[in-house]
Amino acid sequence: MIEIKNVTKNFENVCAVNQVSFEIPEGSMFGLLGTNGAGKSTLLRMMAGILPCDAGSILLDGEETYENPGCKASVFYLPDVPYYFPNVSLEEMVRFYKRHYPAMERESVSYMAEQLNLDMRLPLRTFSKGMKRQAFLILALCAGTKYLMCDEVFDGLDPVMTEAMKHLFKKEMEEREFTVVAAAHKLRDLEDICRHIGIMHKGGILRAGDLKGRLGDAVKLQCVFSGEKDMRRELEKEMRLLHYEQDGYFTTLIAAGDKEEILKEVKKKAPVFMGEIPMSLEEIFMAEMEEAGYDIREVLK
Amino acid sequence: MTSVRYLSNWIREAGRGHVTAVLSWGGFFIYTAVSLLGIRADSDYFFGIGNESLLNLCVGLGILAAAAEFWYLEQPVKLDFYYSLPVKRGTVFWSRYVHGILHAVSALVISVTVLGIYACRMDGDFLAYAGFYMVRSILIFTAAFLVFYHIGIVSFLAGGRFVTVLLFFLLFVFLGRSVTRRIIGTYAEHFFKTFYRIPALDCLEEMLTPRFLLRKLSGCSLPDKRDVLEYVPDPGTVLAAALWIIVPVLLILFLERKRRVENVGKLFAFSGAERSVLFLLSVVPALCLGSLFAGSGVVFAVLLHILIELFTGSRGKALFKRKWQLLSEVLAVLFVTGGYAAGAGVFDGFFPEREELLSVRICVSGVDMSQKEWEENTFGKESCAAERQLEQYKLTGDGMGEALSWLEGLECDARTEEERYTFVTVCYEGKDEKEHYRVYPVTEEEFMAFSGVFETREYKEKAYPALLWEDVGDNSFTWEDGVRKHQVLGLTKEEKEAFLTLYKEEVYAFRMEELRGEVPAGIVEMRSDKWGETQELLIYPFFEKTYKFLREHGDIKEDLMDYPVRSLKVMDVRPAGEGMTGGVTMEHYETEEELREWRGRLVWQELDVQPLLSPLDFGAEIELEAEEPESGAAVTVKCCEKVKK
Repeated sequence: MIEIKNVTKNFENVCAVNQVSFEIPEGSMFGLLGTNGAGKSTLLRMMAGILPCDAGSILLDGEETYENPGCKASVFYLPDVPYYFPNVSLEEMVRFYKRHYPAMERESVSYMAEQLNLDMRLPLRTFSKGMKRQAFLILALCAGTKYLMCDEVFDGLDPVMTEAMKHLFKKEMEEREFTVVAAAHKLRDLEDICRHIGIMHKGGILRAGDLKGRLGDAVKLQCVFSGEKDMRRELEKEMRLLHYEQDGYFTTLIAAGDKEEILKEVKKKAPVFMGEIPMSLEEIFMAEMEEAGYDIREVLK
Repeated sequence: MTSVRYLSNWIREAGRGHVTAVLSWGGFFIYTAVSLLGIRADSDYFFGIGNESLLNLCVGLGILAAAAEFWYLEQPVKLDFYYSLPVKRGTVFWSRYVHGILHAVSALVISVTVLGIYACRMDGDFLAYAGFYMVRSILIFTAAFLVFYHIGIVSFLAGGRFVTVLLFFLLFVFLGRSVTRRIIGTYAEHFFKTFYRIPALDCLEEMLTPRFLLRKLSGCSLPDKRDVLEYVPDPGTVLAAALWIIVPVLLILFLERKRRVENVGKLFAFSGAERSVLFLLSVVPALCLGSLFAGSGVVFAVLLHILIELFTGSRGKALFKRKWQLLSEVLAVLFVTGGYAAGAGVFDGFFPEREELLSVRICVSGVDMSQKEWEENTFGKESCAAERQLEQYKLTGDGMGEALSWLEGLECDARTEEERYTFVTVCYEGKDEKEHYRVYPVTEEEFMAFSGVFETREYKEKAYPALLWEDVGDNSFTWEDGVRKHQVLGLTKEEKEAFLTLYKEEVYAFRMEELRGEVPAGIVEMRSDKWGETQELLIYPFFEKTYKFLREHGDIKEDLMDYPVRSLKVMDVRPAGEGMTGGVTMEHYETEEELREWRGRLVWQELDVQPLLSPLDFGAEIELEAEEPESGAAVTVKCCEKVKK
């Protein structure tokens, strides 16, 4: 488990990470979201043991990562722009990583590279941006580490390749205790693979936790009330209304609480039409954040 | 054990770039090949100590190896990559440190060993010194490599970008020279009226400038083969070189632990480094400029501080955010300037007691030097003529007493530029072996009082070293006056002894005043084949007995015009008068009547030895073409003109 306790990091007069605390459970993928400069890459670098914390601590299975090779042996860090030695091939990078991560599986890398049509003998510099990303994601998956810290995880991959990679991640997480912390700009990139999400804004963490679990507490309805009537005030009296939007005859609302109770209360208002529609992780998250007083659209735009 | 394994892995990893290996082995391969040819062709070829090329190679390799190994410190992406791996930052750093040394030093050792073995085969004399010479060479040139390697590493650690790395490197390499030469030396020259030289300053400059120090350490200026082979650097130089290695190592130990990854990409990796550089870049140039424009150092310090703040990114309100630093810079400039002003009285008022002195070395400008040397010898500046005379006129006996009395009587404080007739440069050498150099202005009246020193037996013996020669019967004596060169004087042993006795008698007896307006008639060259030494005796016409003796025993002419003169060419380059162009006139005189006009006016240029007492006119370039009486050959004599009384 990764425990982040009151972590603060300042770069001269700029507070990049401010009093951040949350936990990342094992065997899951944790999405770290935020705008540019929100502090997610800094937090990720601290989790990978590259940067020290100015205050607080980051513990991986109870151990500090910074300057702790024993603990860092269980972490693979993949930055948004990965570094590779000049003129080396994927084959040589495997050999290099094998010296530092003894569990690195050369055969698995070879198999995956073949599946993705990557020539392991060619210099990495000759690869396109997407191919390099694929190559490093393969290395990250096959390093055999318990934790993977990944910045802009699927950046540069086409939709087909993104899905293929997500599949590989899921498979890996199912097969062993593999925890991935992925930083990204867009919630959509991660919503179908991340159960746990943390949103960072101006160095602080706005929300973190199991958002899939929260889905059970909310319902999204599309209704038509007679006479284009604004029902917001009436509904707010009966239920915890997270989101309300009226567009002509159509009213879309998201409400938290017992689903049966919510449906019952809405029916009492005699809608001409009422239908339940599926809700995305992004919507429930935005609704949660708006309720908490943050204009999340501003945060994530 | 784990850390040892990690270190060895990382040393191999550091070799991935191969740059240091290629530079080291490639550089020494070329050096070895060239030196093998050198040893084969020249028995005086030094492949170790005494070889400046090897020094340059080691210095260059130190810089390049530091750059190749530690460039990663300025690359944020690479740093993230290394520091994300399960390894301590120190392991990455020190493995590269060892890797750089390993390649350079092993290549040096192999090169010196190969060359040493070859030199033993080629040169039998070298065999006796081979082991000692090779070991010392390896140690000295390893030190040369390490000095620049460590300077490079400290620069990479302290800088956050390449431009600041370069700045740190330049500061390390040139700051010592700038401070000693441009500040301490220039301020001393500016504030101290009697400043000529401070020997400790030269030593300080050498110790603080790594290139100079290593040149001295590696014996590059030694002229003789035996000196090179037996050379052992003096302890002071060894200590300075050791400090140039140890201090950077301590800095490296400190900086490596404290360096933060997040500071890479900024100009400076440490705020302390930034403050130090800001201080030095404000204070040092401010003091340098302040010495040029007296009293303006503080203004320059403030201006430079603002400029650097702007350059390093502080703008607007942040311009004066480091008020205390600005204040410290201003105070430093004021302290240095004020210190010199306060110390001027002590420096200029220095006059040692006779009991404290071992010797007094003295050089009166314009005495016993040529017109050209006199013109080049300017007040307070070092010159070849002054250095030569300070070496030659080292007075320890009666001359020193007279010189001290004369110097004590000089009224330096109340002297204006116009009152100065000439000046005297003095070196007081104390019994504690310390040397104090001073230069004093001298009026014409005071100069005439110098005769008291000039006429002492000791001073004459320094000025006319032939006075100390004995048993000259076997020496060869020749005469030179411009037309005649090395004309053998046919003297018997007794005549030679008698001639020197007469010469000594008249030299000891003549007064300085007698030199006024007098020019030597010629030079007798006395050469000892036994000792391989030569001495020139200036023969003045007022040395009546000596001159008469020479005229009786040889065909000595009174005047150059007494020889059969073919022509006289006079090129006058004096500026033309108002409203005229040109100014160069060329005259040829060939007729007997024309040539007669020049009788008594021409002096062979080599006889220009007393420009102060007997000034000569060098305004025109005069060439006399005369016939050498014995051979009948035409001889061209470069002449100048006597100043009309």
